[in-house]
Amino acid sequence: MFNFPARVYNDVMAAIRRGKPLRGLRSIIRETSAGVVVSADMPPSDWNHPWRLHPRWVEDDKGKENWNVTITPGFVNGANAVIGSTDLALTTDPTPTLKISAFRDATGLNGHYPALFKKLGARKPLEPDPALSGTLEENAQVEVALFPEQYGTRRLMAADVLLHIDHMGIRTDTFFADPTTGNLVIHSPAFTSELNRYPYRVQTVPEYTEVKYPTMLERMMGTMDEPNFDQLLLGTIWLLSPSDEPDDTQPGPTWQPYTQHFVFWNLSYANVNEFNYTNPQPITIHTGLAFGLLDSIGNSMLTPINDAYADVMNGLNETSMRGYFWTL
Amino acid sequence: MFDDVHPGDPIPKLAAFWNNLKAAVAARRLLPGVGVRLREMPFGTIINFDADAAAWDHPWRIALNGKEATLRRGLVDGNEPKIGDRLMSGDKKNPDPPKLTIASSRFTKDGQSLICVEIECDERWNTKSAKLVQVARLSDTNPDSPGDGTTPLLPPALSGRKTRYPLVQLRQKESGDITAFQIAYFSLRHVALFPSGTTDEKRVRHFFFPG
Repeated sequence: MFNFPARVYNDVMAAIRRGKPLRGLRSIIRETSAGVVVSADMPPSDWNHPWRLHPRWVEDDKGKENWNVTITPGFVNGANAVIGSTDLALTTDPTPTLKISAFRDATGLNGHYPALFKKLGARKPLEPDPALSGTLEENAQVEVALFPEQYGTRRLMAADVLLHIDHMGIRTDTFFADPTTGNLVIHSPAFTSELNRYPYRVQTVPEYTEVKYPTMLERMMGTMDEPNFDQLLLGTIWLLSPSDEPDDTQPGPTWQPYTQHFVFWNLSYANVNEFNYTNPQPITIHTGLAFGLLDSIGNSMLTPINDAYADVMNGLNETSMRGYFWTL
Repeated sequence: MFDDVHPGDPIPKLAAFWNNLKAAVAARRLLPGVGVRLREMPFGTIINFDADAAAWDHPWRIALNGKEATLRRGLVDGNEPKIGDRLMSGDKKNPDPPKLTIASSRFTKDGQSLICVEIECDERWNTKSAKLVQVARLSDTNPDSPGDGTTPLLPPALSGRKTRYPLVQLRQKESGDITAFQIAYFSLRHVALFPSGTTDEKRVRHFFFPG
């Protein structure tokens, strides 16, 4: 007969109960049949990624306070980006600040902003006065909201922070030739020099607009004028006012800053760097008839074809210094 | 959990009791979750909360210790770079990762230096070998006598089918302290391309991508 004393049983069970892990500070306890998973409940580490924007209300050298932004250093092809007129590298110690000198009014006329700010009480962007924007046509459909959207009364201003890269551009120069040689108008690619020696700089602008490169049609028409810079939107600084802020005030220390990032990694960058232009040989006539006079007349008649041929070759060569970014 | 028992209570199914007891004990076993390290000892289990575990141990992550640096293992086209004549993560004979000595002579006048991976390509421009070097500027042909040239916009085409890509920028303050800025976070892939119409090795363009 096996005897199992009740006291021993109770002691064993009490020991097991005492061994139960209980959740304390900054810990997570998850019980499973295979054991108890103990995890640390630490706040998510706020990764200070490259190009991270830190808006601050600070006093400048002249004692005037402004909204500024400091930037976690980011690199392009492993090289520093710089700010300001003195080309201060972002890695300079102490961290250089970039003044936000102009904002766009996201709650002003035709303004727009992410949906988050509506929840935070941003007011509805102003819309053009219908009385000034034309009259409704007969049978026009008008949307009437049964449940008008709820907006707050806070103003919202914004500025974009962008990476600006200077490089040489390509444009089309126009030359007039002797029509008897077979060409009348020659469009020839030429370089537009870069504006700054040091290429990578961070700037703020009220609103970023994408850099426009010439279309194939513009290349073929001989009206190409490539920008001699590239830009990449790094992020947007949003500033939300207190309630019922008057329309004519600029963002001050009581406004709440928010950052929206578009780039989280260091960058590589390269130009297409193609300058393939070879002047195409025009189609010409060499008969020698009438002491060469007919050749000249015939070549003049061929100029539209030859000019168009040269323009098409210009377009197809895709001569360009356009740059492309990729993250690394 | 089981209810308490009293003297004289029958134990009709000892096997079932034993199995339940085993299950209860097993369910109390501690398992490590995120940011936790457990060390089971004969007298109990030591629980360590590892705050750094939340940080990301990415390739090329630098750890500076005075004038020495170690970098976590990263690859270029599958090749592990060497520091000196040893693999950067160590080897079987000596598993301690080798240290890169920071040379104060390899800084620019404004206190910048780069820890780069320098690769050598074979005749088909595939990566043959890689090593870690410290240079003042990417294009310095002799790292021990840094030039004053401008920073190249692309990884330079060095003689001997070599090129470099920066992994970390070092910045020396006036106090002499060195701050490291991480540039690369991923292992790398390399591509060499010639501009159209040329096979001149000096004009080859080197590109690096995360890989």
